[in-house]
Amino acid sequence: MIRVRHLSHSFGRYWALKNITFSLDKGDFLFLTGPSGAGKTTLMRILHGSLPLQRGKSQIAGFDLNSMHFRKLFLLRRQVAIVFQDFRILPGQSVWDNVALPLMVRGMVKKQVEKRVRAVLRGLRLDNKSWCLCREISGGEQQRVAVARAVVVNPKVLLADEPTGNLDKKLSLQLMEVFRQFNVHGTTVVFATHNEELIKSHQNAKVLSLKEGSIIDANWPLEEGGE
Amino acid sequence: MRVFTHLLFQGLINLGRNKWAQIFTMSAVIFVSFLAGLFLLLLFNFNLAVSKTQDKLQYQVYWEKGLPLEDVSGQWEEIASWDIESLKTFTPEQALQVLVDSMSGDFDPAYLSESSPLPPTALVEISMSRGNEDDPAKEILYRLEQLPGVERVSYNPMQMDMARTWFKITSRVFWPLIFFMFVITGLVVANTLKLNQINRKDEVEILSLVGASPWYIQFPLLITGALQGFMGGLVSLLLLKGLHLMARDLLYFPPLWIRIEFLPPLYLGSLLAALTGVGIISSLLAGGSDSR
Repeated sequence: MIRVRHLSHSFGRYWALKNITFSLDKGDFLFLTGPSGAGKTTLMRILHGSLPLQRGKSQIAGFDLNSMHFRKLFLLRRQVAIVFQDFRILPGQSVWDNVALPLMVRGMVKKQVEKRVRAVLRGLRLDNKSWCLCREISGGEQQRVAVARAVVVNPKVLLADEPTGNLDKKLSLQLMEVFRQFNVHGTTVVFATHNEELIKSHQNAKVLSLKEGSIIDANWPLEEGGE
Repeated sequence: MRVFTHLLFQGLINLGRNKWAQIFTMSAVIFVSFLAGLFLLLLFNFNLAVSKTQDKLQYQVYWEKGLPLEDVSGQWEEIASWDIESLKTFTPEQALQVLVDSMSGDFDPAYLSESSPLPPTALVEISMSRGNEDDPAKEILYRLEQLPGVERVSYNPMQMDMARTWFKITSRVFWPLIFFMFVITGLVVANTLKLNQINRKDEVEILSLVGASPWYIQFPLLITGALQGFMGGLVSLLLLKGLHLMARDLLYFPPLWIRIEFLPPLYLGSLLAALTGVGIISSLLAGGSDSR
């Protein structure tokens, strides 16, 4: 599902990622961990197509990022959803409208949109906030809206960049459970966090530790070399 | 079709969002296009006034004396069928009468009444901006001189030079000035619209993140831009019309007698189309800047 080979990325003279190589299969759950500045967000953004590939090779959900034109990125993003720590939701629109947005851009019919949005909002216990404007709900609720928006499309890959960074312990564990549920149904999840407790809560997950842009540890054999 | 309608509706809804930004954008579009329209109106009326006074050239055509009047009459009919402004013809008797009328009272033409010594003549007036010819003055002069029996064609070379100069000014300066004005208007409007759309960068970025195609992102922006350009243009033209109604007789006094005309439909349509086009182009540029 995800193949990364010798991936490096720099911002000017600063190398944010150095020679990263790993693979994930369908249904894998990966914790990407490491201190701030380790390169977690950079890796996420590359996998989501928000940053161009500079060195190395990368494939995700059947898309080859090396040969993909940026105007076709929307096709990748219809299979690979992302949740950011800072939510990136539309504060002036309702919870319902935010969650329905990815379905609307795909041209889905209204009945199906309603059915799926209702189910996801119920699953994330946001159904009583459907018509509230996002700027009027709490930070934890806003984060759940961001997660709902990502999972409503049943993505093949779900990228989550420290989605629990602004949440308390209880909410973090609840949100973790949502990700686990989707993972059980076959979605590959990449979850960036430095919360050890969350990592311990999911014992079957793969863990990749980054430091200063390099892999320093992994709990499964990485495929070095390759093509 | 459903998505298209939705996006069209989104474009309309966008006009209601960020109210102050929209109000400032619309105000800028209205004032810039009003100034552009005013400039166009002034140029148009200047051109009109110049055309009425300086664009005309007259030829005095003299036929050989004694030529049968039937032959000359035939040529007068032919000249009248050309693309000319006016034609005044004088038989020898009429020419004599005009001469007599212009003389002082003690002149007695009785001895000339049997046979006028003057030849048949015609006064031909043309407009320098007629047709597509490079030099209409030369063309008409040639055709008049080629008529059988024409002895001489006279004209005022200074008048011809003056008419040629005005013709050159109006044809070579007027349209480039109009084009230049449209470019200036376009730049100002595009910049204003783009600034407004930069305010919505977050929204565009989120749409892109959730998998919206470039077309899906750009179409509502395009509709909004087109509406802003069109509505701004429309309001500015209404203001211009109001100003015209108040000021149309401002120069209608001796010796000017100039009544200010409003822009013809072609100009109004062009102005509106240009502003709508500028709105669309600036929207495309604003939407296209978000490459990833």
